[in-house]
Amino acid sequence: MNQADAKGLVMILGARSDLGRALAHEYARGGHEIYLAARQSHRLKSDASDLSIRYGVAVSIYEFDVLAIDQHVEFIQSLPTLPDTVICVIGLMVDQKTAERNCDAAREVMLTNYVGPAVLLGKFAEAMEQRGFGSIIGVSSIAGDRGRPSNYIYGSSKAGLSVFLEGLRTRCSAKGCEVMTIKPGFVKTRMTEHLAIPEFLLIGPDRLARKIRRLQMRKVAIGYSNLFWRVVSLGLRILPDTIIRRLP
Amino acid sequence: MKLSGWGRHPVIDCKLIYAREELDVIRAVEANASLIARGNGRAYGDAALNPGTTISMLMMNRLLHFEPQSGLLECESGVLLSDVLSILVPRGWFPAVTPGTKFVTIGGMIASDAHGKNHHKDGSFGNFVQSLRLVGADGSICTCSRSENTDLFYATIGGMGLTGIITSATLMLRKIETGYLQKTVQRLRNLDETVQAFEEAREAPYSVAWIDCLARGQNSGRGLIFTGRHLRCDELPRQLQAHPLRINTRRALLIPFVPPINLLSRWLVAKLNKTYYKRHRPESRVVDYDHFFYPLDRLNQWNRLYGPRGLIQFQCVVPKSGGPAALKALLEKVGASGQQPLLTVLKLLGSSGRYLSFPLEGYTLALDFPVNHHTLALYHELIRLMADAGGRVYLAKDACSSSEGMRSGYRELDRFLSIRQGTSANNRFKSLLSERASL
Repeated sequence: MNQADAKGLVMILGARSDLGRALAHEYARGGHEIYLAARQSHRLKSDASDLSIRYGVAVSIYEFDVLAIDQHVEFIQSLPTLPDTVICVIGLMVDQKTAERNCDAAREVMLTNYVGPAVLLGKFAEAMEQRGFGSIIGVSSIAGDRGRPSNYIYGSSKAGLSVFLEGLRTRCSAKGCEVMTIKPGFVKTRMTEHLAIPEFLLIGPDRLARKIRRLQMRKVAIGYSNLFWRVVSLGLRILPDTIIRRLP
Repeated sequence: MKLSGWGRHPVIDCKLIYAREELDVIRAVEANASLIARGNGRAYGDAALNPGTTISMLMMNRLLHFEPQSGLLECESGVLLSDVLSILVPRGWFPAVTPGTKFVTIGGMIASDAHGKNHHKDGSFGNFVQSLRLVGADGSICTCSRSENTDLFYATIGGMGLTGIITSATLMLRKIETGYLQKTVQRLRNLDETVQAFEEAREAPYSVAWIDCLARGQNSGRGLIFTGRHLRCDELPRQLQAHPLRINTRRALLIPFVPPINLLSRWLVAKLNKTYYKRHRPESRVVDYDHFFYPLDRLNQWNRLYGPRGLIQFQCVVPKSGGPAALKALLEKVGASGQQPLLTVLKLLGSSGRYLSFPLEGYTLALDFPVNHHTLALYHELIRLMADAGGRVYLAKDACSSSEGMRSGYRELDRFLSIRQGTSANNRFKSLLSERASL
């Protein structure tokens, strides 16, 4: 049951995002039952009917706000079944300049990308450990590998998430639970729509979703979109400060 | 973002935005003074281009409701026909009308009132649309059907997206027992035989003819007529009966980039046409639906073969009375010009649609040309011949005709324009095509 290919129950947190939708399709196509969770969950109704018509799987919808941190425990307890796989694709990017000037914006980025998901996934891990199996996938970012002036507020929140997931992974592996970190690079979603990113650097959400499911089956610890982003990430992590300081 | 239609001519820098749900469409309509919806970009010309704002509906691709007993499907307008096929053919349902490619959206098919090989019997795609949801010029949502907002419903079918943005629709599908068809091929020695063959094939559910445009003199208008009908399970060869609805979809070959020149040179086109005619013998055999309806889809992005300048397709319909004479004149004009269309398709259409819907009882002729100044000149001459014969040009294919050429033959155009003005859609929903036709 604790294998992704054994048609377990998959929960998508942030299901209204482009990557969330793509992941829901990917796992539903594989025959998994799906839980979709997001804010304003009534807007997920059409996605739920789409998934069940296309793939004939059961789909349910849950209202969930990652910023309502006090209610995370309650949220997990309210689920009829504890999912076999929990995928968190929740993320918020605010323009760096705005986030520098506006404290509330910076705080929201940090809460949405790090504090909220970390508290929640920590609680999910606890429940999965008790049960003895489960899989957690967190979508972090290469922006979290090093701090750069163009994006360090978003980056720092993702760095926090990456480190959190790393620790959680080691803690849980002894108890039969898997934790995977995904660092995708640029994905062609609403988040990057307004940025002028050359087409060849972008990966489509459908392709990334397929990749994530394959990586889960291979039980990878840290997954990238492709070799290119793997190398970029490696480069960012090993380059000395003198060089990193020259980057935008 | 550089955008174009399937013909890759013209290529225009447009502001492209994506709608993910109805709310996005409403916001976009409220925020932009001039916009047009875009599906999968399979209209050949500039029907889905607006430099101001072009709103892609491809991410609104959800199936909302399906009744397995009656075959009623409600879906968002960005759903691809290929998705409908791959999901619903295994359950025994087939689109009631399908164009020659499956990579079109439901919204696009409604907006151009697509016709298929069964038009002479069943009419166009719009006939099987039960209702649709339309975002109007003020951002309000309007449900249209044959009993509710009737005028707007008929104006939207074939309305080229100029009445509003279709967000979802309810469609009737056709029950099938198998995913296979009986396909028959007949050789035709000249245009008279071709016209005659369509009369004889009146009872065939699907019929279409391919014309060898290079044949001259006595052989002018020679070609092949293909007819088909869906097969029942007991008519299938035994080895297919176990899984009658499962067909092997072949991997499509991709043309990966635009070659620097037009690869479909006149010499090659001549050779291809000749071979095509020679290769086909009269026959009748069982083929799957992919083979019968979508032969060109097996060459993904085939439009790139025409090189950087792209292609234009001329498609018109001429009324049935006097049709053969008009066809002869059109084919002779093409022959005399020395230009060679890669693919010439002829089809008998049934009854006419309303307002801006293309079909008309008569013969529709479609010709593909590479873009150059010879073919553009020829295109205008063909438009003139067609207009003289009382025909219409298919707006979804048109890229370069004049306002008069585009308007000619659309007898209910004024009614369409007054409906469009009545909802103020004329102030908001515009495409390069609508500007060109001064609609």
